Amino acid sequence: MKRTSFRMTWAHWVSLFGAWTLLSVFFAPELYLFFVYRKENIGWGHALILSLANTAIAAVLVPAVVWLALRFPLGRNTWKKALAVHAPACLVFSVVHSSLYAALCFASPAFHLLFSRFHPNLLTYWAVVGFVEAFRYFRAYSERERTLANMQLELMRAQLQPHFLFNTLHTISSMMHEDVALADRMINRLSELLRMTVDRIGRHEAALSEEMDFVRGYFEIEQVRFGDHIRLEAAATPEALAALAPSMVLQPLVENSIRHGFRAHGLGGVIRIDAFASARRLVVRVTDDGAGPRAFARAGGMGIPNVRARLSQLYGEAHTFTLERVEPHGFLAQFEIPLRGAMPEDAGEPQYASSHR
Amino acid sequence: MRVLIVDDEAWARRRIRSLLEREPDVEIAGECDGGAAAATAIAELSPDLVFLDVQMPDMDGFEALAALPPETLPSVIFVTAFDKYAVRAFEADALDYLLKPFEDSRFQAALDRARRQEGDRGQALAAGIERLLARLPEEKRRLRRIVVRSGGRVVFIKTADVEWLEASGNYITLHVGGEQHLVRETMNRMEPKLDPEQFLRVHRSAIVNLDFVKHLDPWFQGELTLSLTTGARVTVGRSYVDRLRRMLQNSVD
Repeated sequence: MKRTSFRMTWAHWVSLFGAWTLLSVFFAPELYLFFVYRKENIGWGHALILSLANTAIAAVLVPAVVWLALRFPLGRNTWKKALAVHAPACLVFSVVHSSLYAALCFASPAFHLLFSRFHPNLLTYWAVVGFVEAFRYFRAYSERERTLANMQLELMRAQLQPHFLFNTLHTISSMMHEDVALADRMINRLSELLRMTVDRIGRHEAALSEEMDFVRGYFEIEQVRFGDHIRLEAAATPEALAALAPSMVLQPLVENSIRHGFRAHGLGGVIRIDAFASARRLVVRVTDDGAGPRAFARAGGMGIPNVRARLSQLYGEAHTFTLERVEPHGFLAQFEIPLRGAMPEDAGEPQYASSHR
Repeated sequence: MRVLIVDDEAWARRRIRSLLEREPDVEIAGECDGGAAAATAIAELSPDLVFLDVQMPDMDGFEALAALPPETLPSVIFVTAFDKYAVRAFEADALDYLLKPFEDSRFQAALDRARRQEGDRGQALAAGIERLLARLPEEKRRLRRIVVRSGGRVVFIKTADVEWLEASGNYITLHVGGEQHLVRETMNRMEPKLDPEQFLRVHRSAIVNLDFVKHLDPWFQGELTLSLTTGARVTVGRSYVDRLRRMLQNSVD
């Protein structure tokens, strides 16, 4: 449980004091009427003093209750323990409060109040616990909202691939001076890729077929830019192609293979994407026959850690992600997620109510 | 002015080459497609100016510079597509950079500035680059290779292969596989560039690679010494004993 840190300023103390005083004033008529019905007119002033005493005792005891409520939350896994603490604590609170109240008011005709205040005090205890719980839920909720918003932003930035985008524009700017037709072709490839990006922007998942198209477009541009002797092969079953896959996972894996498996070592070879469905799971594999995992670990790129983070954010325990060496040389990255079809109404988070063209 | 072009993409190198070919006073000293090649080329060709791409798969531009002795650093114009972090660092140290893609005029301006600085480059630039390297995140600063001159040749030494480093005046002797190489560098500047998981300062004038430590000899002739797997003995300074003990303790736990 995360500790809630909070520093009291003088403004907090003043408002706290004001709130407790208001509460006393609020409950004074109740006390007054209580005595009136008992045919004992104690007067408004006396009633207010009693009420002040009542809340003052509570003001001293309530922080302890707040502390207990923070310490023992009524969560799904913690409620038993919490109840075991709160049940005796509420009795103690009520008895202590009632006795202190009776003792303070001993001189007054209100000695018998010991018992009359017992039940309302039990309610007070649980009201405080309820308030703390509500506050906790509110906190957790806004925290979650913030995380989600951040994830969304990060995803959008990743999807735009600024580094790739500006590098490709630079390639085109260089090509224009030498080979207009090739530059033209590159602009078209890049536009296709951007169109796909805009379609998917902010969506955490998309059909695997879309992801594959994106990777192919990306790969083609890389080929023209670097003239690497790398081939991309893909084999996917129709079921896998129609399944929902996380966006921004396949492309970074292929990019890693290109950069660290081949290019950093001046090697050429084959990158293979395999995707199939097995036992209600979608399995996607990226294999290369490049330099292998040592090169990956050494290079310390952000690709693999980002993929890992995205998979666990999206699927938690329900995914696996493995990296291994391929004999005689090469690298295999594989992820498995629950198989879900990319139905139109199920197509990730409906960021845009997209009409399918 | 002799210029070296470094970029992992041929098209990007061609762009710079074609812009430079218009300049009568520029001689293109060479082209490199990676960081390691760039560090070697800088040491071998000592160009006046380098157009240095920041992101390259084998070894990035910063790493290439970190591998070189500071006084051999040429003028550098960094070239990057998108790296907010690097750009902020360039701005802070008034280092010149080009954002891809760039226009002729922007390129021209950077080149002119480099021309003007040609006379008094060196000191100021080396200091700027050193500050830049110091500001990079730790793992980017790590030295993985060191460039040394050996019998007129430029040799690349993998930092992980260095058994220990010994200070000798303004130089450091690298002990590597029975050979010794001299680098112009001070211990205090070298220490932070090495991976602290692997290298440990054990004396004012000695840093050892923990992978090569065989055992600790208790107070050998009144002094604590480390025996390396190569047979070498390294004296441990009194003020470094505690740190070494702690380090060894941690590796046992």
